[in-house]
Amino acid sequence: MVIADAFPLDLPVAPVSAAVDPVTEPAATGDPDVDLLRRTAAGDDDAFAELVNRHQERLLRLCQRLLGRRDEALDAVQDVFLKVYRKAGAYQHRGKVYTWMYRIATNHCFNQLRRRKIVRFVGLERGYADEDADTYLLDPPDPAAGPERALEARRHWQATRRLIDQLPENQRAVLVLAKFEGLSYREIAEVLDITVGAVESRLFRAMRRISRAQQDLR
Amino acid sequence: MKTVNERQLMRYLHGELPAAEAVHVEEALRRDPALRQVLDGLESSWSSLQLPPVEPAPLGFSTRIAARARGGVEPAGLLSSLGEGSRWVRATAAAALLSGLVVGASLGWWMQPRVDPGAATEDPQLVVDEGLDLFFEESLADHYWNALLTEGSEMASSDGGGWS
Repeated sequence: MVIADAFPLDLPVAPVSAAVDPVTEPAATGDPDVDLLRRTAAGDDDAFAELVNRHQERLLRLCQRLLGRRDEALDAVQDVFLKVYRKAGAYQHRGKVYTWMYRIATNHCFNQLRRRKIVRFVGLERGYADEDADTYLLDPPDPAAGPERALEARRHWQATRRLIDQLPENQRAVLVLAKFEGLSYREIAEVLDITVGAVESRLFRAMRRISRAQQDLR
Repeated sequence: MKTVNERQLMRYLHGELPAAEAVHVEEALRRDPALRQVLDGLESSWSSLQLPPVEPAPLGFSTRIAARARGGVEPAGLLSSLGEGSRWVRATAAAALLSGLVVGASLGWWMQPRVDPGAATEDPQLVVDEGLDLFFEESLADHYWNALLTEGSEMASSDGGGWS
């Protein structure tokens, strides 16, 4: 069995060391982002720009996967980077800087989702049609495959989006980080500030729920 | 012989099992077709989860973020929360404004005089109003005194003037 495809990104496992303060000891972690963050905190705007350039695509992908909407994801990424800019001096995270940024992004997106629920509840905004969420943006990669294939791909994406949206927040975060961001259990634990066992447990429950939902659809 | 559970199979699928445990799972999979079927089901569910690729950030996106950070455009406190929830806040403000306008207009319509000046004498409500106005223009003592005199004269006329 080929299991390498399960995690398409070759992301390094973050070293966990309680004794190291990454901001003051960037070399100890081998994470170049720590130096950029330290320089950002010191007022070096070029360092911040480089940090944004290095991570904007990754954060945009995560936010769009969690929120399901391109416009909201772009706003969310901007807000996340502004938080990173403001908090750079107070950075205490043990591990890679990008997992810290993932944590900020995940929290921000879930706040956004809760706000969206309230707006929808009081009827101030037209309800989001799930089938419109993030699937209207792109056609399948191979347009030559024909309209039927395109329609099939679109239905597949919509079904996935519905399945993800039905998951409780904690399971959804774990699933998106594992499946679509290719993070290891250890990295997910670091992002969400939970144990590896909790990651495994949430992912297992999420997969159970998804399998059942898929069986019901058949 | 240890059995392999579904959770272990998921970790195996995700490449999260230590090497020794992975070997153990592979042996079990070779022996047990039912276990292999469970793994196939897990793999099928996992690989069926697909979302469209995410388009790259628009041109100038990073410059915009850097400019916002540099310019300190991000307001603090209440303004910050307004900015973050701008759509929500705008919608709420619009709803409140609209409600205010509707209530104001309704009150204005309800409180305006509804009497047609041309038909004033025919309106019984107006007669009552005039009576009330007259009542409040008189002093209370005058009012009672006049009422007593009127009643006295009526009684006198009905009794044939027997009491005076």
